Amino acid sequence: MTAGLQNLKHIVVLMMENRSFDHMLGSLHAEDPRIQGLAGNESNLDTTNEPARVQPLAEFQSQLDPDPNHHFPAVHQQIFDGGPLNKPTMSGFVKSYYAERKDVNHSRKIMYYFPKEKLPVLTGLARSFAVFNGWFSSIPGPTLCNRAFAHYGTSFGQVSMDVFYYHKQPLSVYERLINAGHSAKLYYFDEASSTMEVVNLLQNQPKLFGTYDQFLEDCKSGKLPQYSFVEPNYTDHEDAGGEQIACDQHPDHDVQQGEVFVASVYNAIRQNPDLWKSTALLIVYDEHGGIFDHVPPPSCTKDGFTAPPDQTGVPGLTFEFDRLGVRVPAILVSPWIPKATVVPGPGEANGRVFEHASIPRTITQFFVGDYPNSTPREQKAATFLDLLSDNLRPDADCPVFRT
Amino acid sequence: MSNVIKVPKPARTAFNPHRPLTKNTLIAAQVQHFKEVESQLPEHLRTGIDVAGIKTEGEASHYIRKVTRAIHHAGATPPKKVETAR
Repeated sequence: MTAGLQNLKHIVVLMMENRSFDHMLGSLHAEDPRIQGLAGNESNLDTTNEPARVQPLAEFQSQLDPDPNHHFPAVHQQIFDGGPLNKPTMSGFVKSYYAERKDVNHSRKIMYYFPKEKLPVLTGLARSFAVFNGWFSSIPGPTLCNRAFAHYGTSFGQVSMDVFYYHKQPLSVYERLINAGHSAKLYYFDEASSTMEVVNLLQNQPKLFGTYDQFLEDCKSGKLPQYSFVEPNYTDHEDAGGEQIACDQHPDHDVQQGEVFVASVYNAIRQNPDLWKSTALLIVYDEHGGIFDHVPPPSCTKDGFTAPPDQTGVPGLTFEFDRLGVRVPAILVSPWIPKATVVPGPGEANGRVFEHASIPRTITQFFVGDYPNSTPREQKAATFLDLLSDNLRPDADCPVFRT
Repeated sequence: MSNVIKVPKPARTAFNPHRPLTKNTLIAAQVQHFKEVESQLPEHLRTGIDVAGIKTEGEASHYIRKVTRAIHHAGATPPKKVETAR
């Protein structure tokens, strides 16, 4: 066991919304070829059969309006574009987005990505800590079924937004820890934003939840639970403190406010020296939100469920949960991680594949040990704490964000 | 000296609680889920808000705040019914 693991007492997961790897981090390939981002010549054909090339023209807001479709049938088109199911081409993104507004020029914007200078927080963390070339959403579908994999290691056969599974096995990662005498909490931003675990954990176990203000206080006072899951603000709303801008980065919410929020979570941990040395922070996105990524999702271990055609929404297609969704940004932060670590992905030497089932797998294994009720999918999911080394980086070597 | 990175703030125009709910299917789904949970709360904790009238993000967050508070008030009281997968 490395010194980094011996010192590890807390794991924090921050899950953002609906952005692909290439959209957020693809520009980093130009400065570090180890990062599997964009070469600049990737393209999709639009509905007039003209190539729409990737371009560094992504804007913080008002560009991806309407919200790109990321439900199962749309993602199926984005990945396969009508081709055979054993050959994901990643060539149907522009055509899929065209269906939203029937505007050819607008549909090409789904290929836009951020230049690295526009996202100093996310790219700064990716440069300084560990960035994953091969972290994929768990399902080629929308938010709630993907978030379920982060909590339960499965979506219980669901590929949609209607996910009701409380009192089923496997238990959530929070219940696993608490039943074993450990501590765990979900922190939502505030009551007006609340949680996406409404009908499951919030309804049945409200004591598992805290607010983001409490997270900040727990970081400051050294009372952070062993495992924390942080949810961003999902809505623009007002409260006693004034305007609260959504920070989840879900289109059409402001991406820059998400940067401020990621920096805030990082700084809260970073500013408590004891916490900083004993915490690993994973920043990950739930799914790609219909936005282009060039890496085909690999096949994966089935999780024991099937979704028939009336649930997938694709005529004749029964989904056996045997392929992952589109790739998303994922960064692991800890002062025990060697600077500028790049975790290779599929198709690379020593490549590894991660997905959201890696979260409960890693957390459970580290704090509790084996959990036999987990799905075959979770049991096969890669874990990520081996990235913590024996060497603690000097304080001055790790970034500080000023907001 | 640490590597200090400045984080720009969003434009003032970023805040828009009047954004139509039709533009964000995630919040629309969240509202429906809160409606489902609210229907299982004790009568005195229900909001009386008709979610069909919720048209904007600001209105959605107002409703979500009220039901979240009600759920916490209900506390450890078990729900009347537990939904299974569907």
